[in-house]
Amino acid sequence: MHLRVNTLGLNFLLFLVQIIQAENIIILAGTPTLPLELRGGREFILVINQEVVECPLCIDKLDGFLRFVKIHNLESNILAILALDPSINYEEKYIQYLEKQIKGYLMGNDMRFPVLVDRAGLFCQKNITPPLLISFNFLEGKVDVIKLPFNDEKLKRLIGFTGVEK
Amino acid sequence: MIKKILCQLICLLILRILVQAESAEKITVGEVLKIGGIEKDLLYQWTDLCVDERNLIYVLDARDCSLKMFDSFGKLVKMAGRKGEGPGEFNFPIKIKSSGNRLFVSELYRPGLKVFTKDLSYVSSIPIAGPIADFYAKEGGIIVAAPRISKELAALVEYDFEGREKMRINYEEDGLADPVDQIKRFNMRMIDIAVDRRGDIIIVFEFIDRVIKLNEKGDLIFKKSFFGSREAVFKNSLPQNHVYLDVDTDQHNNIFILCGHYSSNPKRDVMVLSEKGDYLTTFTLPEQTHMIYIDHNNFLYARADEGMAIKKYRLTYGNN
Repeated sequence: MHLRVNTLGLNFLLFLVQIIQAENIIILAGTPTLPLELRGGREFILVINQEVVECPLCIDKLDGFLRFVKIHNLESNILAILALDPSINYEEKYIQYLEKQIKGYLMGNDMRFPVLVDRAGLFCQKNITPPLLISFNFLEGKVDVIKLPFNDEKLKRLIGFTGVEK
Repeated sequence: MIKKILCQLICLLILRILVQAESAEKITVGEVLKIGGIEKDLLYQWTDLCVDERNLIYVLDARDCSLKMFDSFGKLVKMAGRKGEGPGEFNFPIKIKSSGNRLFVSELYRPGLKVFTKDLSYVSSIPIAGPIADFYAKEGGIIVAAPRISKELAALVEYDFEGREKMRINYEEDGLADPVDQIKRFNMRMIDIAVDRRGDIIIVFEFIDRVIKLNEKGDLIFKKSFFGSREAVFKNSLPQNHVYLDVDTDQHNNIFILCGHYSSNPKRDVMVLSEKGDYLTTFTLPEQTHMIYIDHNNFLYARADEGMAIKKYRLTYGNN
Protein backbone atom coordinates (compact mmCIF):
# COMPACT_ATOMS: atom_id res chain seq x y z
CA MET A 1 0.00 0.00 0.00
CA HIS A 2 1.57 3.33 -1.06
CA LEU A 3 0.22 6.77 -0.20
CA ARG A 4 1.53 10.27 -0.50
CA VAL A 5 3.25 11.47 2.64
CA ASN A 6 0.80 14.18 3.59
CA THR A 7 -2.19 11.92 3.13
CA LEU A 8 -0.51 9.20 5.08
CA GLY A 9 0.43 11.60 7.83
CA LEU A 10 -3.12 12.90 8.02
CA ASN A 11 -4.53 9.38 8.13
CA PHE A 12 -2.10 8.45 10.87
CA LEU A 13 -3.06 11.52 12.85
CA LEU A 14 -6.74 10.74 12.50
CA PHE A 15 -6.04 7.15 13.52
CA LEU A 16 -4.21 8.25 16.65
CA VAL A 17 -6.89 10.74 17.61
CA GLN A 18 -9.53 8.03 17.27
CA ILE A 19 -7.47 5.66 19.33
CA ILE A 20 -6.85 8.11 22.14
CA GLN A 21 -10.45 9.25 22.30
CA ALA A 22 -12.02 5.84 22.02
CA GLU A 23 -13.69 4.74 25.24
CA ASN A 24 -12.56 1.19 24.96
CA ILE A 25 -8.90 1.92 24.62
CA ILE A 26 -6.79 2.82 27.60
CA ILE A 27 -3.23 3.95 27.66
CA LEU A 28 -1.26 1.41 29.58
CA ALA A 29 2.11 3.07 29.68
CA GLY A 30 4.08 5.96 28.25
CA THR A 31 2.80 8.76 26.08
CA PRO A 32 1.57 8.24 22.54
CA THR A 33 3.89 9.75 20.02
CA LEU A 34 2.16 12.41 17.98
CA PRO A 35 2.77 12.24 14.27
CA LEU A 36 4.08 15.79 14.27
CA GLU A 37 7.23 14.51 15.90
CA LEU A 38 7.76 11.80 13.31
CA ARG A 39 11.27 11.13 14.39
CA GLY A 40 13.25 9.70 11.53
CA GLY A 41 10.13 9.80 9.39
CA ARG A 42 8.97 6.46 10.66
CA GLU A 43 6.45 5.09 13.11
CA PHE A 44 5.86 1.49 14.07
CA ILE A 45 2.76 -0.06 15.52
CA LEU A 46 3.27 -3.39 17.23
CA VAL A 47 0.00 -5.28 17.50
CA ILE A 48 -0.12 -8.22 19.87
CA ASN A 49 -2.92 -10.32 21.29
CA GLN A 50 -3.56 -12.13 24.56
CA GLU A 51 -2.10 -15.38 23.26
CA VAL A 52 1.29 -13.78 22.84
CA VAL A 53 1.15 -12.30 26.32
CA GLU A 54 0.03 -15.49 28.05
CA CYS A 55 2.58 -17.78 26.51
CA PRO A 56 6.09 -17.20 27.99
CA LEU A 57 7.81 -18.65 24.94
CA CYS A 58 5.65 -16.60 22.58
CA ILE A 59 6.29 -13.27 24.24
CA ASP A 60 9.99 -14.10 24.31
CA LYS A 61 9.87 -14.13 20.51
CA LEU A 62 9.60 -10.38 20.76
CA ASP A 63 13.01 -10.24 22.45
CA GLY A 64 14.82 -10.04 19.13
CA PHE A 65 12.55 -7.22 18.03
CA LEU A 66 13.21 -5.30 21.23
CA ARG A 67 16.95 -5.76 20.81
CA PHE A 68 16.62 -4.38 17.29
CA VAL A 69 14.66 -1.41 18.65
CA LYS A 70 17.40 -0.70 21.18
CA ILE A 71 20.25 -1.04 18.72
CA HIS A 72 18.59 1.25 16.18
CA ASN A 73 17.27 3.66 18.78
CA LEU A 74 13.67 3.26 17.72
CA GLU A 75 11.98 3.24 21.13
CA SER A 76 10.35 6.63 20.60
CA ASN A 77 8.96 5.41 17.28
CA ILE A 78 7.02 2.48 18.70
CA LEU A 79 3.38 2.27 19.70
CA ALA A 80 2.13 -1.10 20.91
CA ILE A 81 -1.46 -2.24 20.88
CA LEU A 82 -2.82 -5.18 22.83
CA ALA A 83 -5.74 -6.26 20.68
CA LEU A 84 -8.43 -8.23 22.44
CA ASP A 85 -10.74 -10.54 20.53
CA PRO A 86 -14.08 -8.71 20.30
CA SER A 87 -16.01 -11.98 20.24
CA ILE A 88 -14.85 -12.90 23.76
CA ASN A 89 -16.30 -11.32 26.87
CA TYR A 90 -13.18 -10.94 28.96
CA GLU A 91 -13.37 -10.57 32.72
CA GLU A 92 -11.95 -7.32 33.98
CA LYS A 93 -9.51 -9.19 36.16
CA TYR A 94 -8.13 -11.05 33.17
CA ILE A 95 -7.55 -7.83 31.26
CA GLN A 96 -5.75 -6.40 34.28
CA TYR A 97 -3.64 -9.55 34.38
CA LEU A 98 -2.66 -9.09 30.73
CA GLU A 99 -1.80 -5.46 31.35
CA LYS A 100 0.45 -6.43 34.22
CA GLN A 101 2.24 -9.05 32.18
CA ILE A 102 2.99 -6.57 29.40
CA LYS A 103 4.16 -3.98 31.90
CA GLY A 104 6.48 -6.45 33.54
CA TYR A 105 7.82 -7.68 30.23
CA LEU A 106 8.62 -4.19 29.04
CA MET A 107 10.23 -3.28 32.35
CA GLY A 108 12.38 -6.36 32.21
CA ASN A 109 13.53 -5.31 28.76
CA ASP A 110 14.05 -1.72 29.86
CA MET A 111 11.51 -0.44 27.38
CA ARG A 112 9.12 2.46 27.89
CA PHE A 113 7.12 2.79 24.70
CA PRO A 114 3.37 3.26 25.10
CA VAL A 115 1.00 0.33 25.06
CA LEU A 116 -2.67 0.81 24.29
CA VAL A 117 -5.21 -1.82 25.29
CA ASP A 118 -7.77 -2.20 22.54
CA ARG A 119 -10.74 -3.55 24.45
CA ALA A 120 -13.10 -3.09 21.53
CA GLY A 121 -10.98 -5.34 19.32
CA LEU A 122 -10.50 -2.72 16.61
CA PHE A 123 -7.18 -4.34 15.79
CA CYS A 124 -8.43 -7.88 15.87
CA GLN A 125 -10.29 -8.03 12.61
CA LYS A 126 -10.13 -10.42 9.70
CA ASN A 127 -7.48 -8.47 7.83
CA ILE A 128 -5.46 -7.67 10.94
CA THR A 129 -4.22 -10.80 12.65
CA PRO A 130 -1.84 -10.15 15.53
CA PRO A 131 0.94 -10.44 16.28
CA LEU A 132 2.28 -8.14 13.61
CA LEU A 133 4.28 -5.00 13.08
CA ILE A 134 2.91 -2.13 10.99
CA SER A 135 5.49 0.29 9.69
CA PHE A 136 4.54 3.78 8.56
CA ASN A 137 7.27 5.31 6.44
CA PHE A 138 6.34 8.96 6.09
CA LEU A 139 9.34 9.96 4.04
CA GLU A 140 8.59 7.52 1.29
CA GLY A 141 4.86 7.32 1.88
CA LYS A 142 4.76 3.60 2.44
CA VAL A 143 3.04 1.25 4.84
CA ASP A 144 4.43 -2.18 5.41
CA VAL A 145 3.17 -5.04 7.52
CA ILE A 146 5.21 -7.96 8.78
CA LYS A 147 4.18 -10.88 10.94
CA LEU A 148 6.06 -12.78 13.61
CA PRO A 149 8.80 -13.83 13.62
CA PHE A 150 10.30 -10.38 13.29
CA ASN A 151 13.70 -11.54 12.17
CA ASP A 152 16.52 -9.12 11.50
CA GLU A 153 16.16 -9.49 7.75
CA LYS A 154 12.57 -8.33 7.76
CA LEU A 155 13.29 -5.53 10.20
CA LYS A 156 16.33 -4.28 8.31
CA ARG A 157 14.20 -4.19 5.21
CA LEU A 158 11.87 -1.81 6.99
CA ILE A 159 14.79 0.37 8.04
CA GLY A 160 16.12 0.20 4.49
CA PHE A 161 12.94 1.89 3.23
CA THR A 162 14.09 5.24 4.56
CA GLY A 163 17.71 4.76 3.63
CA VAL A 164 18.67 5.58 7.21
CA GLU A 165 21.65 3.59 8.41
CA LYS A 166 21.58 2.98 12.14
CA MET B 1 12.73 -48.22 94.37
CA ILE B 2 9.29 -48.38 92.85
CA LYS B 3 8.91 -44.64 93.38
CA LYS B 4 12.22 -44.08 91.60
CA ILE B 5 11.16 -46.17 88.62
CA LEU B 6 7.79 -44.45 88.53
CA CYS B 7 9.46 -41.04 88.58
CA GLN B 8 11.74 -42.03 85.74
CA LEU B 9 8.81 -43.30 83.72
CA ILE B 10 6.89 -40.07 84.27
CA CYS B 11 9.93 -38.04 83.26
CA LEU B 12 10.38 -40.10 80.14
CA LEU B 13 6.72 -39.68 79.27
CA ILE B 14 6.91 -35.91 79.74
CA LEU B 15 10.07 -35.78 77.67
CA ARG B 16 8.42 -37.80 74.91
CA ILE B 17 5.46 -35.46 74.83
CA LEU B 18 7.70 -32.43 74.65
CA VAL B 19 9.95 -33.64 71.86
CA GLN B 20 7.51 -35.46 69.64
CA ALA B 21 6.70 -33.87 66.31
CA GLU B 22 4.00 -31.25 66.56
CA SER B 23 0.72 -33.08 66.25
CA ALA B 24 -0.41 -32.48 62.70
CA GLU B 25 -3.69 -34.32 62.66
CA LYS B 26 -5.26 -31.08 61.56
CA ILE B 27 -3.56 -28.05 60.08
CA THR B 28 -5.23 -24.80 59.22
CA VAL B 29 -3.74 -21.78 57.51
CA GLY B 30 -4.42 -18.16 58.29
CA GLU B 31 -3.27 -15.36 56.00
CA VAL B 32 -0.99 -12.89 57.74
CA LEU B 33 0.52 -10.97 54.85
CA LYS B 34 -0.01 -10.31 51.16
CA ILE B 35 2.75 -8.88 48.97
CA GLY B 36 1.84 -7.42 45.60
CA GLY B 37 -1.48 -7.96 43.90
CA ILE B 38 -3.27 -7.08 40.74
CA GLU B 39 -3.57 -3.45 41.74
CA LYS B 40 0.11 -2.99 42.58
CA ASP B 41 3.20 -2.93 40.38
CA LEU B 42 5.34 -5.01 42.72
CA LEU B 43 5.19 -8.48 41.26
CA TYR B 44 4.33 -9.58 37.75
CA GLN B 45 4.99 -13.32 37.55
CA TRP B 46 7.04 -14.45 40.50
CA THR B 47 8.51 -17.93 40.39
CA ASP B 48 10.27 -18.61 43.68
CA LEU B 49 11.19 -17.08 47.01
CA CYS B 50 13.24 -17.66 50.11
CA VAL B 51 13.39 -16.04 53.53
CA ASP B 52 16.56 -15.46 55.49
CA GLU B 53 17.25 -15.30 59.21
CA ARG B 54 16.45 -11.57 59.23
CA ASN B 55 13.00 -12.36 57.80
CA LEU B 56 13.84 -10.63 54.56
CA ILE B 57 11.96 -12.14 51.64
CA TYR B 58 13.84 -12.62 48.37
CA VAL B 59 11.66 -13.11 45.31
CA LEU B 60 12.37 -13.98 41.69
CA ASP B 61 10.13 -12.40 39.07
CA ALA B 62 10.30 -14.07 35.67
CA ARG B 63 8.29 -11.41 33.87
CA ASP B 64 10.52 -8.44 34.55
CA CYS B 65 13.55 -10.72 35.07
CA SER B 66 14.37 -9.38 38.49
CA LEU B 67 15.41 -10.32 41.98
CA LYS B 68 13.48 -8.40 44.63
CA MET B 69 13.96 -8.05 48.34
CA PHE B 70 11.03 -7.32 50.66
CA ASP B 71 11.04 -6.72 54.38
CA SER B 72 8.87 -8.74 56.76
CA PHE B 73 6.02 -6.24 56.28
CA GLY B 74 6.03 -6.76 52.53
CA LYS B 75 7.67 -3.48 51.65
CA LEU B 76 10.00 -3.55 48.65
CA VAL B 77 13.49 -2.77 49.87
CA LYS B 78 15.61 -3.35 46.81
CA MET B 79 15.47 -4.74 43.31
CA ALA B 80 18.13 -6.00 40.94
CA GLY B 81 18.49 -7.66 37.58
CA ARG B 82 17.03 -7.29 34.16
CA LYS B 83 16.64 -9.32 31.02
CA GLY B 84 19.90 -10.26 29.38
CA GLU B 85 22.83 -12.58 29.02
CA GLY B 86 25.32 -10.68 31.12
CA PRO B 87 26.42 -11.09 34.74
CA GLY B 88 23.52 -10.56 37.08
CA GLU B 89 21.03 -10.56 34.23
CA PHE B 90 18.32 -13.11 33.78
CA ASN B 91 16.39 -14.78 31.03
CA PHE B 92 13.85 -16.68 33.10
CA PRO B 93 14.85 -16.93 36.78
CA ILE B 94 13.13 -19.91 38.29
CA LYS B 95 14.56 -21.03 41.66
CA ILE B 96 16.22 -19.19 44.52
CA LYS B 97 17.81 -20.52 47.70
CA SER B 98 19.85 -18.90 50.41
CA SER B 99 22.74 -20.15 52.46
CA GLY B 100 24.92 -18.10 54.76
CA ASN B 101 25.31 -14.66 53.27
CA ARG B 102 24.62 -15.76 49.71
CA LEU B 103 21.68 -16.19 47.39
CA PHE B 104 21.70 -18.76 44.60
CA VAL B 105 19.52 -18.46 41.50
CA SER B 106 18.84 -20.93 38.72
CA GLU B 107 17.22 -20.17 35.38
CA LEU B 108 14.92 -22.12 33.16
CA TYR B 109 16.72 -23.87 30.31
CA ARG B 110 20.08 -22.47 31.40
CA PRO B 111 22.76 -24.48 33.19
CA GLY B 112 24.57 -23.11 36.21
CA LEU B 113 23.69 -20.99 39.16
CA LYS B 114 24.10 -17.27 39.68
CA VAL B 115 25.36 -16.14 43.06
CA PHE B 116 24.33 -12.89 44.73
CA THR B 117 25.00 -11.25 48.06
CA LYS B 118 22.11 -10.62 50.39
CA ASP B 119 21.98 -7.02 49.18
CA LEU B 120 21.42 -8.33 45.65
CA SER B 121 24.89 -7.64 44.23
CA TYR B 122 26.01 -10.19 41.68
CA VAL B 123 29.03 -12.18 42.80
CA SER B 124 29.69 -15.01 40.38
CA SER B 125 28.30 -17.94 38.51
CA ILE B 126 28.68 -21.60 39.46
CA PRO B 127 29.10 -23.77 36.39
CA ILE B 128 26.85 -26.79 36.56
CA ALA B 129 26.23 -28.89 33.50
CA GLY B 130 22.71 -29.55 32.37
CA PRO B 131 19.38 -28.00 33.26
CA ILE B 132 18.58 -27.89 36.96
CA ALA B 133 15.24 -29.23 38.17
CA ASP B 134 15.75 -28.10 41.75
CA PHE B 135 18.55 -27.52 44.20
CA TYR B 136 19.28 -26.94 47.86
CA ALA B 137 21.95 -24.63 49.22
CA LYS B 138 23.72 -25.67 52.39
CA GLU B 139 26.87 -24.76 54.20
CA GLY B 140 29.79 -25.48 51.96
CA GLY B 141 27.86 -26.74 48.98
CA ILE B 142 24.81 -27.14 46.85
CA ILE B 143 22.76 -30.26 46.25
CA VAL B 144 21.48 -30.23 42.71
CA ALA B 145 18.79 -32.28 41.08
CA ALA B 146 19.66 -32.27 37.41
CA PRO B 147 17.89 -34.89 35.35
CA ARG B 148 20.03 -35.69 32.37
CA ILE B 149 18.95 -36.90 28.98
CA SER B 150 21.25 -39.90 29.10
CA LYS B 151 21.32 -43.49 30.18
CA GLU B 152 22.88 -42.59 33.52
CA LEU B 153 20.81 -43.15 36.57
CA ALA B 154 19.34 -39.95 37.86
CA ALA B 155 21.25 -38.61 40.81
CA LEU B 156 21.52 -35.75 43.19
CA VAL B 157 24.89 -34.17 42.90
CA GLU B 158 26.55 -32.12 45.58
CA TYR B 159 28.86 -29.39 44.32
CA ASP B 160 31.08 -26.97 46.12
CA PHE B 161 30.67 -23.28 45.40
CA GLU B 162 33.20 -23.48 42.58
CA GLY B 163 31.16 -26.08 40.77
CA ARG B 164 33.35 -29.07 41.65
CA GLU B 165 31.47 -32.28 42.25
CA LYS B 166 31.76 -33.51 45.83
CA MET B 167 29.48 -36.50 45.90
CA ARG B 168 26.67 -38.13 44.06
CA ILE B 169 23.51 -39.77 45.39
CA ASN B 170 21.58 -42.01 43.07
CA TYR B 171 17.89 -41.84 43.73
CA GLU B 172 16.52 -43.75 40.79
CA GLU B 173 15.98 -47.41 41.26
CA ASP B 174 16.91 -49.93 38.64
CA GLY B 175 13.35 -51.05 38.64
CA LEU B 176 11.94 -47.71 37.58
CA ALA B 177 10.55 -48.14 34.10
CA ASP B 178 12.95 -46.16 31.98
CA PRO B 179 11.35 -45.23 28.69
CA VAL B 180 13.46 -45.30 25.56
CA ASP B 181 12.02 -41.95 24.64
CA GLN B 182 14.66 -39.53 25.93
CA ILE B 183 12.34 -36.61 26.26
CA LYS B 184 9.89 -38.62 28.28
CA ARG B 185 12.74 -39.99 30.42
CA PHE B 186 13.89 -36.46 31.11
CA ASN B 187 10.39 -35.38 32.04
CA MET B 188 9.88 -38.36 34.32
CA ARG B 189 13.01 -37.38 36.22
CA MET B 190 11.75 -33.91 37.05
CA ILE B 191 11.78 -33.68 40.81
CA ASP B 192 11.59 -31.23 43.65
CA ILE B 193 13.70 -31.63 46.73
CA ALA B 194 13.68 -30.43 50.30
CA VAL B 195 16.14 -30.98 53.12
CA ASP B 196 14.90 -31.20 56.69
CA ARG B 197 16.58 -30.12 59.91
CA ARG B 198 18.39 -33.44 60.20
CA GLY B 199 19.84 -33.10 56.74
CA ASP B 200 17.63 -35.82 55.29
CA ILE B 201 16.57 -35.28 51.70
CA ILE B 202 12.98 -35.57 50.55
CA ILE B 203 12.31 -36.02 46.85
CA VAL B 204 8.94 -35.75 45.12
CA PHE B 205 8.54 -36.60 41.48
CA GLU B 206 6.50 -34.15 39.44
CA PHE B 207 5.22 -36.70 36.94
CA ILE B 208 5.35 -39.97 38.86
CA ASP B 209 3.52 -40.85 42.05
CA ARG B 210 6.62 -41.30 44.17
CA VAL B 211 7.89 -39.69 47.35
CA ILE B 212 11.36 -40.68 48.56
CA LYS B 213 13.33 -39.81 51.65
CA LEU B 214 17.07 -40.38 51.82
CA ASN B 215 19.60 -39.67 54.50
CA GLU B 216 22.69 -37.58 53.80
CA LYS B 217 24.55 -40.62 52.54
CA GLY B 218 21.77 -41.57 50.19
CA ASP B 219 20.37 -44.50 52.13
CA LEU B 220 16.68 -44.92 51.59
CA ILE B 221 14.52 -44.04 54.59
CA PHE B 222 11.18 -44.51 52.90
CA LYS B 223 9.48 -44.64 49.53
CA LYS B 224 5.77 -43.90 49.25
CA SER B 225 2.99 -43.46 46.73
CA PHE B 226 -0.32 -41.80 47.48
CA PHE B 227 -2.23 -41.83 44.23
CA GLY B 228 -2.11 -45.45 43.21
CA SER B 229 1.40 -45.19 41.74
CA ARG B 230 0.06 -43.35 38.73
CA GLU B 231 2.09 -41.41 36.22
CA ALA B 232 1.15 -38.10 34.72
CA VAL B 233 -0.60 -38.22 31.37
CA PHE B 234 1.88 -37.77 28.54
CA LYS B 235 1.15 -36.49 25.06
CA ASN B 236 3.96 -36.49 22.50
CA SER B 237 6.38 -37.16 25.35
CA LEU B 238 5.28 -34.03 27.16
CA PRO B 239 3.42 -34.25 30.49
CA GLN B 240 -0.09 -32.82 30.54
CA ASN B 241 -0.50 -32.73 34.31
CA HIS B 242 1.42 -32.97 37.57
CA VAL B 243 1.35 -35.57 40.31
CA TYR B 244 3.32 -33.44 42.77
CA LEU B 245 4.41 -29.85 42.41
CA ASP B 246 6.63 -29.05 45.35
CA VAL B 247 7.84 -30.15 48.77
CA ASP B 248 9.09 -28.50 51.93
CA THR B 249 9.47 -29.28 55.62
CA ASP B 250 8.42 -27.45 58.76
CA GLN B 251 10.27 -26.87 62.01
CA HIS B 252 9.18 -30.27 63.27
CA ASN B 253 10.45 -32.14 60.21
CA ASN B 254 6.94 -32.79 58.98
CA ILE B 255 6.87 -33.06 55.20
CA PHE B 256 4.54 -30.78 53.23
CA ILE B 257 3.80 -31.86 49.66
CA LEU B 258 1.91 -29.68 47.19
CA CYS B 259 -0.30 -32.04 45.22
CA GLY B 260 -1.15 -31.86 41.56
CA HIS B 261 -3.96 -33.04 39.37
CA TYR B 262 -4.74 -36.31 41.12
CA SER B 263 -5.67 -34.56 44.31
CA SER B 264 -9.18 -33.34 45.09
CA ASN B 265 -8.11 -29.72 44.81
CA PRO B 266 -5.25 -29.63 42.31
CA LYS B 267 -2.48 -27.16 43.14
CA ARG B 268 -4.20 -26.25 46.41
CA ASP B 269 -4.05 -29.43 48.48
CA VAL B 270 -1.00 -29.78 50.68
CA MET B 271 -0.46 -33.28 52.01
CA VAL B 272 1.44 -33.54 55.29
CA LEU B 273 3.53 -36.54 56.26
CA SER B 274 5.45 -37.24 59.42
CA GLU B 275 9.22 -37.40 59.13
CA LYS B 276 8.84 -41.16 58.90
CA GLY B 277 6.52 -40.80 55.93
CA ASP B 278 3.24 -41.56 57.66
CA TYR B 279 0.28 -39.67 56.30
CA LEU B 280 -0.94 -37.10 58.81
CA THR B 281 -3.39 -34.77 57.13
CA THR B 282 -4.19 -32.67 54.08
CA PHE B 283 -5.16 -29.02 54.12
CA THR B 284 -6.27 -26.86 51.23
CA LEU B 285 -4.91 -23.44 50.35
CA PRO B 286 -7.43 -20.80 49.23
CA GLU B 287 -5.74 -20.28 45.84
CA GLN B 288 -3.84 -22.41 43.38
CA THR B 289 -0.10 -22.22 43.68
CA HIS B 290 2.89 -23.63 41.82
CA MET B 291 5.09 -23.86 44.91
CA ILE B 292 5.14 -23.74 48.69
CA TYR B 293 7.83 -22.45 51.01
CA ILE B 294 8.02 -22.75 54.79
CA ASP B 295 10.34 -20.35 56.57
CA HIS B 296 12.28 -20.81 59.79
CA ASN B 297 9.38 -19.36 61.79
CA ASN B 298 6.99 -21.93 60.35
CA PHE B 299 5.11 -19.55 58.08
CA LEU B 300 4.03 -20.92 54.71
CA TYR B 301 4.29 -18.84 51.54
CA ALA B 302 2.32 -19.52 48.36
CA ARG B 303 1.16 -17.91 45.17
CA ALA B 304 -1.86 -15.66 44.82
CA ASP B 305 -3.48 -13.47 42.20
CA GLU B 306 -2.21 -15.57 39.27
CA GLY B 307 1.41 -15.04 40.26
CA MET B 308 1.11 -11.31 40.90
CA ALA B 309 1.03 -11.71 44.67
CA ILE B 310 2.57 -13.74 47.47
CA LYS B 311 0.57 -14.76 50.49
CA LYS B 312 2.09 -15.66 53.82
CA TYR B 313 0.14 -17.98 56.10
CA ARG B 314 0.43 -18.96 59.73
CA LEU B 315 0.27 -22.71 60.19
CA THR B 316 -1.93 -23.74 63.08
CA TYR B 317 -1.64 -27.29 64.31
CA GLY B 318 -4.41 -29.03 66.15
CA ASN B 319 -6.02 -32.35 66.88
CA ASN B 320 -9.28 -33.45 65.28
